[in-house]
Amino acid sequence: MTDSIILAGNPNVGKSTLFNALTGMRQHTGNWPGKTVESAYGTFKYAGQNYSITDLPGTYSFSPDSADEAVAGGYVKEHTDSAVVVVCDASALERSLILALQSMDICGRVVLCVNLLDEAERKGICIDLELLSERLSIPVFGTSIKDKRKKQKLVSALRRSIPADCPGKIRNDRFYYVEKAEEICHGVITLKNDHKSSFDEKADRIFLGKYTAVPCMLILLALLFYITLVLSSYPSDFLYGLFEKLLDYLSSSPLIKAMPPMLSGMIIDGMLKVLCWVTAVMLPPMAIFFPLFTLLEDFGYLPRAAFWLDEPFRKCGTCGKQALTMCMGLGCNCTGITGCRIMGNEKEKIISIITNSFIPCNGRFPILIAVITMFFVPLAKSAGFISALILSAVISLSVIATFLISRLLSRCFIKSESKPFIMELPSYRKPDTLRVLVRSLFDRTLFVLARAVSVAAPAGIIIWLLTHIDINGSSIFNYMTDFLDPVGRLMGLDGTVLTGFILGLPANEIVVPVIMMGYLSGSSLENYTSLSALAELFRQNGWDVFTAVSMVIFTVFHWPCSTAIITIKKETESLKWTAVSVLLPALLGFVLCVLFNTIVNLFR
Amino acid sequence: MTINIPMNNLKEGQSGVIISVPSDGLVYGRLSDLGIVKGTSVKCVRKKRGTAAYSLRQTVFAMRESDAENIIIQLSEAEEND
Repeated sequence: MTDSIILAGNPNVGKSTLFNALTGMRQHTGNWPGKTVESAYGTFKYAGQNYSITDLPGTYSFSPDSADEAVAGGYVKEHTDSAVVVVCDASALERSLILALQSMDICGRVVLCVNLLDEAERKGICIDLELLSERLSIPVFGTSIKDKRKKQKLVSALRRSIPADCPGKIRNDRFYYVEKAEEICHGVITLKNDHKSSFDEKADRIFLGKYTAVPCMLILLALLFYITLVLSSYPSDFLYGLFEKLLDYLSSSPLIKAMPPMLSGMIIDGMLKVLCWVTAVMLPPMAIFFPLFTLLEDFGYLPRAAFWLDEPFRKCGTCGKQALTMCMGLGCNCTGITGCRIMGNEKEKIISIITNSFIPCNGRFPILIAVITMFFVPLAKSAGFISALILSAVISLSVIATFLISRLLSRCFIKSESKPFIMELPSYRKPDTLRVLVRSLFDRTLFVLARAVSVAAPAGIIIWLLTHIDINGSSIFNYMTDFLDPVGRLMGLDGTVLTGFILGLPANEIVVPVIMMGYLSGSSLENYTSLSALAELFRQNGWDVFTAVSMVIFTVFHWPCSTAIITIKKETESLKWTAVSVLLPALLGFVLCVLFNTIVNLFR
Repeated sequence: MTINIPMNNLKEGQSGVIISVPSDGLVYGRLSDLGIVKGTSVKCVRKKRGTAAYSLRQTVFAMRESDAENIIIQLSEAEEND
């Protein structure tokens, strides 16, 4: 028999961390409310008993009149045979208990988990778990992030729980729950006030300070890019060298030589070279950037930035939480788009979905890095600093565009019902640095490699075929580039680049390889397995610094990738908004490029 | 003597007790879900134009002026002489 468990609790109390500890799975976690917006399912076994476990997105209440939270409440009601484990933040027990009391009204088997005990202790908060259990008449167990005995404690609490009768529905009187929670906590919580001026206050004085907040934000961003750029060039060079040798070895191997030229070309020049590009160029920056970003996320900085950015976002008709969805978009726009569920209302949600693709994701970020390294800075060692500044400027450009377009969109909207903006600013947490770095590095590497194999490899074959199948003396690829060339020229680019972006619809990772192969099919250049050789190839095809600028602009603003488009359709449930999300960034990128190119041509 | 002010008028560092929250469904519901009701003590920890951070039941929440102005606070005795 499988015992089924539902994990419920306020946002950001460590539910996903608990879930991961129990199941050994890897739900992404972060120190800000709203990180998990979808339920996760998993199983685990303990002492011969199987357990299935559902991790609900964080919710403050099960009351049916708050739409998003009614979903969580509904789930609990529909699964009355499950035990509900309500996870609480020990530092904010009173608030967390409201949800626990509501759970007890809709489910007969409730267990309370008081999490983050160590954090509460640091703040001088002591909790009498036994008294709490007695007053609630349900099993209570305490734990903390680093606790190794979570599974054992949970199972023993579950075994102690006795099904009780419950009314089966939430009371209308919300005041009742708040009052009852307060009553229960009286005497359970002891405060030692000598810990008052905490680390939180000191850190907030800097991160939320009048004069320090914005500089901090910019410095953190630039620093993040700087470290990424400097560190990633080493593994990048190494991987390039390695692949060069590997390709040389393979092309001279008897097996490949025995193949018809069509097949060997498809494998070596098509599939493997795209794979090499994706791994050597895309992997290192991502595998360095994201672990660092995860540290910042775990530390609890992101909600502070969101708090600070609420004012500009309010002026644009949305709210500070949009900054959080943008941060998620950095990793992958699909995650960012799903994350838009945390936005206050439908209007804000749609605006942040549409603008999410302005934030360069995992697949486009390395293109920016590559173009910047190739054209804006000499390939010297000190280039890291300049590149970091340029990259920060590019990201600032996409943030500014997000503001402006959000404002434009919110003006065009019919005013939708506004919900109060209330966002929790969680306590800072000391990230488990080593574990975060290792796990995030590993996860990111897997993510990029999985994309490389599933998308880039087949795409490489298709692109090679497109460039090599002759129809009336010209390849299909050439027909495409010739057709698009006038438009490309208008934008300061060329037909090959536009073809790259169009063929890159399934994944932005393959945009540059497509351009590369396009150029190569008309060139005799053989060795292009390094960035400087690639830059040379691009220069031979008429690229200069201005082309690179147009490329950067269009990389940031074009259409979202196909997976993102599908996600947009799913989240907005509207063809109209999906179309807007595709066309608007494309139009913006087109207009910006044409404008830039026209200005450049005036002065040339 | 007691002084009642809207919550958005709390200065940084000032604290008080909530004596009334708007009875309007949505806002009231949202607030009470968070445990913000009549009788809850509140301290303003950080303030900037339009948005402020309040400490309520050991949790810090960011809230907008336009939402906070409907919540009426009774200033703590210690603050009245400021």
